[in-house]
Amino acid sequence: MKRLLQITTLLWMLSATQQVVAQKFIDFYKIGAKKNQEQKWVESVEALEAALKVSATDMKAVASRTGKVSEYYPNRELGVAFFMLGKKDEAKRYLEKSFADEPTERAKEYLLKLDPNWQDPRALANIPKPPKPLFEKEHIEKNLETVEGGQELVIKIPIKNEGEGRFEKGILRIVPQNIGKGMEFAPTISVGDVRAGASRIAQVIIRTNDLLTDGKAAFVLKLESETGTTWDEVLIHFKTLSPPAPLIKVIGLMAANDSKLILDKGRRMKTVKLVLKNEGRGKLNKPRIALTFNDQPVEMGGPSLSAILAGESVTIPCELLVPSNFAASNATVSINIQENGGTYNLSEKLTVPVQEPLTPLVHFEKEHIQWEGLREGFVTLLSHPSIQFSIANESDELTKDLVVKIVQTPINPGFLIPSTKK
Amino acid sequence: MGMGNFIGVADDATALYWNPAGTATIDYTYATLEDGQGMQVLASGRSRSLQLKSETTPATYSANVTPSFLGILVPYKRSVLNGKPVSLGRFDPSIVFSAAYQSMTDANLFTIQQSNPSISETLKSGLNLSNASVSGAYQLSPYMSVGVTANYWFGLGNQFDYTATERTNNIVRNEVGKYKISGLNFVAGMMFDFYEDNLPLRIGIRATTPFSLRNQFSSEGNVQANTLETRVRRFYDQKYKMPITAGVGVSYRLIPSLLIALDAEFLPYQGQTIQQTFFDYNQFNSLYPNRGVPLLTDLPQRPTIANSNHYQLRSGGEFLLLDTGTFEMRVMGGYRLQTYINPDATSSRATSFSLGATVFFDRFKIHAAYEQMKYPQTTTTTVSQFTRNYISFDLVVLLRN
Repeated sequence: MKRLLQITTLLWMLSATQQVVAQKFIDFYKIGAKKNQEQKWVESVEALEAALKVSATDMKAVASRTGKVSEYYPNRELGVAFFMLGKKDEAKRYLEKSFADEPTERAKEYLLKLDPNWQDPRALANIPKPPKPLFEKEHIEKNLETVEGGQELVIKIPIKNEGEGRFEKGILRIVPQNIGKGMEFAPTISVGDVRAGASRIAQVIIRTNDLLTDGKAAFVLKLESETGTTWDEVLIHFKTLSPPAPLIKVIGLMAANDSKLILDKGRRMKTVKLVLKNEGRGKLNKPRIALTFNDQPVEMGGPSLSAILAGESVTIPCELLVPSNFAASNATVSINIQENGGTYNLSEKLTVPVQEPLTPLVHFEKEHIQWEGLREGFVTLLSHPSIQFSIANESDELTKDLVVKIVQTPINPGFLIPSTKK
Repeated sequence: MGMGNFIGVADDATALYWNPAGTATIDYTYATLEDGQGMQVLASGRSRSLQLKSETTPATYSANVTPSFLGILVPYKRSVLNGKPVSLGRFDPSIVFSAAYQSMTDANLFTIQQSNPSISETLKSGLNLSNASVSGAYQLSPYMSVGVTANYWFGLGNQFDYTATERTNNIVRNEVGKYKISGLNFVAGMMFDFYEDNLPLRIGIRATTPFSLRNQFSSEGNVQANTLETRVRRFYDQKYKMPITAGVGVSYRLIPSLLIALDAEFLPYQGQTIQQTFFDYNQFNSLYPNRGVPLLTDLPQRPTIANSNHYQLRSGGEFLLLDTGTFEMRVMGGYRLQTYINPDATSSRATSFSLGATVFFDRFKIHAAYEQMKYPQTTTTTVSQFTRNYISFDLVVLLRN
């Protein structure tokens, strides 16, 4: 207890001594700051100089009992007071001390009033080093030199930062120079950050579609910073080709024996062949082929086609009929081919010569003519031989009443011959 | 109640218990004082649970929330009291008045029901041993302030009921008692504060005066043995001596947002006749009122002559986690090491830890904390291991005049 009393007495004496000093730096600062607000500059100088005698460093955080920070800027406020009193040298000295201790906008404002060219010494020391990003043009890679419609052109461009500073948030801008239809691309591509001395590969993808035509295309790639500065440019050119579409040609209609087709009126041709050839670069998928003969649909024979490959010829059997009453000497055959996707549509007309039939359309079938009632191959007395025959009609219509006449040559008086038979 | 519960901090209304001088250097701003602000009210509630592991008498107290503290703190600057404006920058002493109700110990709030083949009995006590306190603090210099608190002791809910049935002898007892509590003591403190000199240090000193607390307990009831009925009266005039205590505390901000505090308290009890109830009060402090031994159960507690002095060390830290200008959050933790007197006058050592958080917004401060204390209590006949858990909630409201 005795020792406790001694310590208490000592602390009390200590605090009593401090009390003689009386005003404390924080109070003086607060007085000075308030006097500055009241524009009482002389009183302010007096209070702030007293504060500086206790603690000469500007601080944004002086410990308070609650743990909350409380500011303390006696140098700054003293500088402001001297400035207003016209003592510029002193003002500059205190303001610079304040800015060095704890930079504030208020100190900066008055330092700039003293000297419009004043610069933050820290800013001078920390001027950022510039980057120098460039394309490595000799190492640009393209996956294709010629691009067909539907293909992707991938261009890989190495970017090297030859500067001393970091190239931040770089952008690759794609500027079209000479392009037609059928190309799609993002106008800008983010390059990201490139450290000083480091390289980075940017990738540009140009997509093409069916609208692409044969020719040449060119882009300029620009390397830009976020602020819009262009660091480097490179011209990229390549050839373009239209999309690899099928190209169906009609070779013709041919007779079954591949000879030239000549149609006879009124007679069926069962083995007419339609020959098609795909002379394009793309294949034709599941083509729908329709044939009309003199505007009448024709039934197509043979299995349905799944595809016609590039360069492939196909033969499609079909039946054509020239009616007997067909008057012209030529018939018209129309061929129409469609692909499922509707991307290919061919319509072509052929003219086929038509002639009168070389042989009668209604005729005896000679190999079927038979004699009956003969004796050992001879007609004898009192015998009644008969002749059986058949008649073929190759025309497309019913014949009118036919009359078969039997004519004896030479005439034998022993034969009794019926005159006609319907 | 957060970091205010240190002799070296004492910056809220609880300072009238911990160190009455602390309130004079609460960090009022001139702006708040000019606006007539600074007056604040603190209300506190506490939930307890006690698990007792004993070889002979296993017992458990159920948890409940009881109001434990209600205080008001009214700060002034001397110039304001003199009718003058607050003078900026000049030393203007703070004068702070505070008043509080405190539940000093609710050890006498209990219901005991015990039953064995020979007897079953029920003891029910409703006494809440309380203090009405008034305090004043004065700032002698920017670095030093003093304060004193007067505590008037009284009882709330003075009823005591006792019923027992002795089966072997077929005796039934019914008894109703009344406590009458009186007493007066003082807490004096000094606070040395160096914040104004850009040294975030506070040193506090605290002492409590010795005093006697009197309990004039009277009870009356019937004893019925078979057909025989007897009227009984009891009267105890208990006087419990409370020795002096003294302590010192230091708090320091390592960085502006981190406060650490250390208290050391000395209890010169050796050779003194101690009533354990009040030893508990002093050991665990009034703001932990659930601790302590009842003044009486079926018989008054007898005093003990302590065979050694006692001490208590408390340490804690508080960190300002978040401060948005309109909202603040602080987290804190504490550790306590102390000796503890046993009924047979020997001492044991107890330890505890605590965790808490405080949020501030507008004019409100809400604090919640958890504390757990473990201590053994050994006597010649029993070995008990106590574990006490506390959850406390405090509300501080800054009033505007």
